[in-house]
Amino acid sequence: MQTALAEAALRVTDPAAVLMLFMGTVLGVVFGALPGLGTITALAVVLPFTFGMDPMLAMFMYSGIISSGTFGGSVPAILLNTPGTPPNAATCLDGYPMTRRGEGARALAVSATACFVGSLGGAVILLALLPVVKPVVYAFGPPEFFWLVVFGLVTIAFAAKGNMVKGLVGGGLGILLSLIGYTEMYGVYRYTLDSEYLWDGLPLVPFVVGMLAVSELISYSSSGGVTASEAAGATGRDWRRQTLQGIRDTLSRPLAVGRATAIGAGIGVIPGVGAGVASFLSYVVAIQGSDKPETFGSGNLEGIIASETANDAKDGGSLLPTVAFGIPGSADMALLLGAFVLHGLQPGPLLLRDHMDLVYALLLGIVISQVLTSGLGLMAVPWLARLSTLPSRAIAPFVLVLVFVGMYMLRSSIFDVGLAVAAGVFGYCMRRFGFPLITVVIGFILGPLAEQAFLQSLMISDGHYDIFYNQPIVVVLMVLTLVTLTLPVAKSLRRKMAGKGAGVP
Amino acid sequence: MRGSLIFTATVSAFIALLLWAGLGYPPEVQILPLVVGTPTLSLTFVLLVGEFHPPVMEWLDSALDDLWGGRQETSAAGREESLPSWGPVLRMMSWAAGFFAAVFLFGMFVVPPLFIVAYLFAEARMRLAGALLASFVASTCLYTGMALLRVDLWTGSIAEVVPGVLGGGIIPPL
Repeated sequence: MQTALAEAALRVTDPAAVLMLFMGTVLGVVFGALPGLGTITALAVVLPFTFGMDPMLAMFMYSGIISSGTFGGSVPAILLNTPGTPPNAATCLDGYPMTRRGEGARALAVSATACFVGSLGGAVILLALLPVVKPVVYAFGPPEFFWLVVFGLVTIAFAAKGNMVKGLVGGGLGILLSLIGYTEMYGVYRYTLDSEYLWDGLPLVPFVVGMLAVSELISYSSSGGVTASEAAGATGRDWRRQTLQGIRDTLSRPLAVGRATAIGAGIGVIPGVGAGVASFLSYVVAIQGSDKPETFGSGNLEGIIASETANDAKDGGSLLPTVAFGIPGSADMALLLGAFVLHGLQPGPLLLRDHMDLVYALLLGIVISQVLTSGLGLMAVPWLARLSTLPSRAIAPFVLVLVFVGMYMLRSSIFDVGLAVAAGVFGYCMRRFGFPLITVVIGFILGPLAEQAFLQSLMISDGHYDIFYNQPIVVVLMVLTLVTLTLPVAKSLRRKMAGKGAGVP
Repeated sequence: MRGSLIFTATVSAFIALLLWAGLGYPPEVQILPLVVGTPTLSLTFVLLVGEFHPPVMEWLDSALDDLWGGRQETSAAGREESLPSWGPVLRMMSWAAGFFAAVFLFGMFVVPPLFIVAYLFAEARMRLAGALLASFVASTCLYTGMALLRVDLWTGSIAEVVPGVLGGGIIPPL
């Protein structure tokens, strides 16, 4: 094992390996930052080019892409309220309000540092869990998965705070819209209106990008002015000072970072759950653990730490079932699995026995690429943050062109572009009439995952509902969900009773 | 009639339609539309009542927030900003919809550079020379990137929409 690690470490110093890592990192950041593309598209694009390559070099390129996409996606999420990838939607919640406050550089620096720490933590957890992962992976079936997603859905209630009824309506609407399409398990076309386009349902990325990005674009372009229109925070418009402050902010919160890392890596290990659940779940837990839960959603940097750290830590976790059992932990890992096969490698116990050096190469690549991403990202933050001070009407056409091309590239469908525009107009109306958009997005992302796990569980149990409460992990997750939902209510009631007891009106 | 009332009523009707259509599916596939749709529809009715009696809505939101760990004043950043009038909003929506219609008909090779010039000149009040330069730089980056990634961009459907006028003459009639 140590020989394999040494061999992989030695190869990292090879100039060709450094070049591959750098190329992968740049590609990952660019594809992550372009709304609608992301890590999966980047991997799909480079896969054919790596066919004849030395497998070790190819691994470095893949790890560069996998590792850097998250930070890339957080840049438009923070500056333009446009998530580069769907899991970055959780970052919009607090990142964009910080940009509006004139603290865009601080938010970006928090994201870059959180990504680095998350990635490093994910890799460490992967190494630690490698010998004991098998029971963890096999312990999670559809009922456990269902409760995990329901736990993530609890975010809707937190995101709706301040506008509860409209927020909950938005969440419900998001879930209902996500049900459109063909249900594979029962062979039913639901709400498709005989349209072939709707057979696969409303595509996730165009819908989310339309709701958040196009609606935001309509909002800021029609208002004029600049994004960072509010008074700058304590650090003023000194972008470099803000960057340093952002690094300090993250490093001075080891508990928040550690918690998000554990959640991200833990969710990553469970096959098929994905980064969306990891980031939203980590966000909910961060709110629960905070002294000032009411500040989440209005620019609390712990919200960015929670979502970005978990998002990046997930990579290390999801690598675990991929290499150890050949079970992809997420969609990008499924592509990585294809890449392994392309290079004549069979993921599973044999890979760990015969090619452990490649597994270490991937891990080292992820960590080194994250150092590159965060380092270069932090250097670029002062310039990137200036975007928020440009007149919104001057950047609007470029953002719109970017969204159009990104949406089209995804599936080469012009109707996806149309859907993004329609979702944008609808999203603007929702925003205008006080419906929090993020609850629609959370419902739309997590709703189908919940239904799929629910129906799979029912199939396994032959229609008996006791499958949802008769196993230990299921019970733990169910209790956690209920506690998360009832704890704020209990706290509030206790506070009220204490107030009454003290004679406070 | 207030815009928010029309919008809430439309959302209510849409959710009711989804719920009603959901009743026609097999039992297993009905579960989620019913479980989610019923409370959502009930809440939209509460919103509709709130449209006619705003104090009811204010009280309910406040009570729910109090119960859910305290009132949050700044969650919806958008509520604090002064809303623009519908005029500029509809103009921006028209730009987006018009851009899509133009791309749909004439493709991604022709429309984006022209759109950037037109928007910067008309909306951002940029000089024509500046708008042309910005469009040239952006388009060069865009098309170089697409060529490197070997992306086949949408070429437009005008030939199919209006056969025989544009492009339709390429294929001789059999």
